[in-house]
Amino acid sequence: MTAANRNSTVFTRRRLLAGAGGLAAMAGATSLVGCGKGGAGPSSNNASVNSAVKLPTYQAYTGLKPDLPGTEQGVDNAFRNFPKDRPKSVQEKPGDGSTVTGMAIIYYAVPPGPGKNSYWKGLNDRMGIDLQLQMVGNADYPTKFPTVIAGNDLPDLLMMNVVANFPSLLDKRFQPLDEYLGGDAVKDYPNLANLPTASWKSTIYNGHIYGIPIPRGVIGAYNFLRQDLFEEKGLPTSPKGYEELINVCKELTDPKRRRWAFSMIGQPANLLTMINDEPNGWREEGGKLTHRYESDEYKQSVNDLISMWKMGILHPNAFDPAQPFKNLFNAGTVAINAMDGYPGWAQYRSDNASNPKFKLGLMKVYNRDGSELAPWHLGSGVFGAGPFCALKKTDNKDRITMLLRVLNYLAAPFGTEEYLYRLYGEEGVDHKTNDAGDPVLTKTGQTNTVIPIRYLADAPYTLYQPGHPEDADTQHKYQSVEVPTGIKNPTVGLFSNAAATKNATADKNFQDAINDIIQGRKPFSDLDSQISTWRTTAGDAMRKEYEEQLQKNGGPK
Amino acid sequence: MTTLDQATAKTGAGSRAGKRPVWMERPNPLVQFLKFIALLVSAALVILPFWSVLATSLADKQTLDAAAGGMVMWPGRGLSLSAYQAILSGGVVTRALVISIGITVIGTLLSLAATAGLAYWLSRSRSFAARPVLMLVLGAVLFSPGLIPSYLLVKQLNLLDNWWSLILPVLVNAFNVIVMRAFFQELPAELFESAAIDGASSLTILTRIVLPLSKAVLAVIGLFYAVGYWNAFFNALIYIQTADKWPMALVLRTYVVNQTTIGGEQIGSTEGLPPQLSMEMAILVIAILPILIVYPFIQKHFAKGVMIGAVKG
Repeated sequence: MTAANRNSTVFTRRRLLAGAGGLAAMAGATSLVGCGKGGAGPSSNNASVNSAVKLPTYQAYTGLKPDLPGTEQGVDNAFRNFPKDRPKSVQEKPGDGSTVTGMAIIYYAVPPGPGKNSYWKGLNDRMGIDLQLQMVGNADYPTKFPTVIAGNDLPDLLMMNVVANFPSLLDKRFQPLDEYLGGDAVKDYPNLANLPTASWKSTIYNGHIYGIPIPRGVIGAYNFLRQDLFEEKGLPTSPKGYEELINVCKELTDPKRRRWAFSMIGQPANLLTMINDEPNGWREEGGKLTHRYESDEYKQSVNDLISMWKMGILHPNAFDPAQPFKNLFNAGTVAINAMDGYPGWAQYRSDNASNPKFKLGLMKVYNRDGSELAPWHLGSGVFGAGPFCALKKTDNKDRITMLLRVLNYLAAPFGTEEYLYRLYGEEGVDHKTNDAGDPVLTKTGQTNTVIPIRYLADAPYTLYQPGHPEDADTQHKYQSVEVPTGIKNPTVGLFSNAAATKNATADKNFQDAINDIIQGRKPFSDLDSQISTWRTTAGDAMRKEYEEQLQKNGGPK
Repeated sequence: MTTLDQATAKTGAGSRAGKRPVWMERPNPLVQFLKFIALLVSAALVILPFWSVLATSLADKQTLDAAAGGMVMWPGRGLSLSAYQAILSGGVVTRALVISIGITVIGTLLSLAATAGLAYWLSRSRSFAARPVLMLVLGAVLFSPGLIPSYLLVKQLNLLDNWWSLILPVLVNAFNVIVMRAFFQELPAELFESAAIDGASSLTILTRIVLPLSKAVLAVIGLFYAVGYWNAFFNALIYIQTADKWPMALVLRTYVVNQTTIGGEQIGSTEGLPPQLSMEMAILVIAILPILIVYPFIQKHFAKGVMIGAVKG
């Protein structure tokens, strides 16, 4: 990709070839517009330019008081029940009656189109637009995204995928939004001003704000556990230190009854990153970066995984990437579902609504010797699969402000009238309100309301579990304990072309080799050569690109 | 088979058993039994996954929970059709089925017409430019245009979000053309000559002589095309923008391969939905069914058609 792009400034025919290469989507895009800034390097995308950006002023929404307020560090707001009064956060219809196109990922079965979907029609009426959405399954988005870019057929609103030459793609095709959102300007869109400041950092490239972040709590993941299975054996849910964890896991494991402690190999591996104090992705010391694979702590973790696998506390299919780990957890086959995305809480609740024995709990993570809590590895604060939604480049300022008003509507915070409609649709049709005041989706609602508008703009994540007010307390307490111990990944908000192009393959090869080592198919001594292979194929290039961006700013933000 | 039996009878009648060639000896019962076991096992290997898909699609939640999220071989006491009800009620799957059937029928007919025409042209050595065009076709077997150029072409033809984009770009499969051309070349040249003497035009020869003699190869190639159209999700993913126009294969893919969660983040209560796994399997069953129904009718031509093409190809 890089080679094709470099050549494109020299040979016209090569430029044509770059456009023709199936994978060279971005190179093709660049060649169509011309190679003004030389798309390969992040020359204009560095930390000093980016840190000069005026981030949107944060202005918290005050219309509703959460039962358990969040913190500036990143603990989410929590509500025990759905608020009784649902204030309107957007007073006027945001749209101008025109057609607005968009494209985003969908995790659900496709909903019926606007013609047969009363919810969608109602949403259009409320927003005053005719919303036309391309919905693409999550596994197919990385394929679809480059074709749409290469076809130069961009929708108005596009959920972004971080791809090769991302900064120059943004520069050529997408609208910088500084004048509309930078500093106090964002106050024209109060629901966008309510998005956490940390989440905006992922939208900054080339010294501009390029979109609306899709915010997620910085906690990122939970260590889910089946409290009922722990209680059955009288085990501590937050074992202190590695030894105690192993003892608990052994107690939980009983292959004859088809019971194991962990399901997929990646889960205890992620747990060990914290227990053994590995870097959160990268560790930064004086402008120098060390990847977690290169750390001594990582070797310790691999060692631990080898002994865990030998002990048999992992499900026998732990190395199958398609293992249905959620189902295994629901069925009680595995007791710990470590470091799984934290919005999963709601899903485990609804999956097990008819199982009275099911009790969901959370495991706090202690360091190796159990003396104190291990540092939590914080997430990026944005939705991983599509960190932000960008606007197609246009000179029409009225159009931009109209689109931002629409996104402002979609970002309406939890508990508002707009939020209720966006997630639960029309009362009596898409949802019913139960005795506790919680909206419950009807079958129609389950089919109709899954339009992926939540990946164009979303409210800050809020803890709320319909029918289980105590869950708000459990989760809020857990976040309040873990988030303050958190360490950040120093490369969040930085762009590395090597990470976007080469690392996926390099990392997969590395992980495959590690899996072999854990299963004893390769000797432990192989680890060093695997690390150096990863370094030469992707790691060193990533480090260089990240360090350049860090140094220009004299350290991380 | 018949010829072999007759031969056995003839030689067997006149000579001693000991003089029979090895392959005509009476089969050893033990070997027969082992063969039976081997065939049974391989048949089971093919049938059991299908059976498991069917059983899982009919299983209720308790049975699946007991299987710890895995597939089941027996749907349990209560057969549950709730997965099928849930899928067919929303209207998305039923519409996708109609779309897929339409695309498959129209696409297969057009593909067959185009392929037969091209193959006939290339099979007659004296046709205009037959050789260069044949090279072009062979080239298409070796090189494919790649994703982005195909997308740009479809876009410039204004076929985006149009069902024709699922048919026209894949209308003619070069491999099928070569198979069919080989079949046409096998037909006796005398037939063509006598028809020509009787004053038949090329088109008449194609429609009145060649095609009626080529039912076997048409059936096989038709099945290839039909299965191709039925299973194609990728072009629909790239070219079809409105989800309302999706064919079955793409709907299937979003349900099954993407492991979309029905329920899930922030959606709240989803009580009453059948288990995800049985819904996935029910969609699989629905998707396999039409091809399964068509297959037996074409199967009799299958072995013959493929063989003839393959030897000459």
